Amino acid sequence: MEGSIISSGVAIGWPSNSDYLVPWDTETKFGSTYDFFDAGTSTTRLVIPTGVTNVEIFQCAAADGFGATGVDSRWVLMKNGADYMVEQVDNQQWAPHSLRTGVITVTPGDYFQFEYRTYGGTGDCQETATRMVVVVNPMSHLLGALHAVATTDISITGDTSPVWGTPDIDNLSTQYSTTEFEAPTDALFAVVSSNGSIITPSSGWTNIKSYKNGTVVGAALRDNQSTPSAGILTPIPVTAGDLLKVTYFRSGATLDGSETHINIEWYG
Amino acid sequence: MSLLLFQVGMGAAGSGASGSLTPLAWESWSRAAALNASSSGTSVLWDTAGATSGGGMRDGTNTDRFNVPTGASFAVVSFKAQCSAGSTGDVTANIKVNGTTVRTFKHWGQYWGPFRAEGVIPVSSGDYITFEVVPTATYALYVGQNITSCSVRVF
Repeated sequence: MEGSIISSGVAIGWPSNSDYLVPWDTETKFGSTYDFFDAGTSTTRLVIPTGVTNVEIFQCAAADGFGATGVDSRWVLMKNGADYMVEQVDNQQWAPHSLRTGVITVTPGDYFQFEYRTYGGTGDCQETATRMVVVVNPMSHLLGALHAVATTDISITGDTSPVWGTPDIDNLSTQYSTTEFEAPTDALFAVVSSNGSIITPSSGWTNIKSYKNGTVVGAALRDNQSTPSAGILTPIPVTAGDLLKVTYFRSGATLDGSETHINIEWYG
Repeated sequence: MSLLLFQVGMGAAGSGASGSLTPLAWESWSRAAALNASSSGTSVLWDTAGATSGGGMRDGTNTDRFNVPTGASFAVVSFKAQCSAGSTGDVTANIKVNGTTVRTFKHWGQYWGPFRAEGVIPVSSGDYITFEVVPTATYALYVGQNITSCSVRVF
């Protein structure tokens, strides 16, 4: 398993009504000797090194502090200076954002950047959620996968873990409890995704968090609409025995168990 | 600005963990030509291939379908789409297997989206996977730039 996480160690202040290439300062490698980031060359570029031909790229961020009215924004993954994947989020106070490219072919020297374009107020980025992740040859390193559905509807009180039933996919037997899942031997990296639906939608915000060993490693915030469904996507390095879980928070709401899922891909 | 560089994990470049699964096939597709999504539900037709290995899953006749090959037990899929800006409306994104919804993501009260759906889903030989958008009124889907795109990996 080979790859890197490119992140920023400082909070990022989003500008107003402008395009902003996100600068990075840290590369964290997992099982890899490849260098994807060189701050001496460019602080905004993830560059494909020699020997790498297939990757999957994740881009994750969440913004905070846009004020009561919300803003419209675009979150753009750029390849070699041109738009490659685009997500647009409208009228959000907090703009959750995460995308994955799927497996793509690349050539050495290709570079990827994360550009934020806003059409309204300014805000700050959540440090824990903002990063680019590159996984090398992901099609060759999947150890196993998990999928489970919540067993019952759950009234949400604070950050609440769904109670998961017996998985219909779990070839590595990673279910640790009804709320947590344990990284298996050899696992170096996990992709956690979860989505849930609210039974009676109403205006308000939904916050989904992902955790490793009790510490928040990802967040997805969606606000200023009656959205009954929201999802989180978190790529995260792991070691054997790490415990992963997700929680949901929406004031006074009840999760529809039959429409609340968790998926984990284990790579090693 | 400082550069911090450190390594996590025990593997070496070029190595893979023992026991890793070999996908039977994986394909990435996007939509380049104009396409409207209607309130009765529109299954996205895929017209532009991305990276592919062991391909042949996307059906040549019903171009919204990915046919599951022999020996498969589960698929790792992701799907995203967006509607062109219009009046405020609701949109649901669905992943379907053999025409039955297995994952649904409901986005209400937005102009654009994005409308994502993803997951690990059980499949078996002979199944087909499709991706559906259901808006409250007819909207044009954004196309190009991988805005409306999908990835299917079958194990």
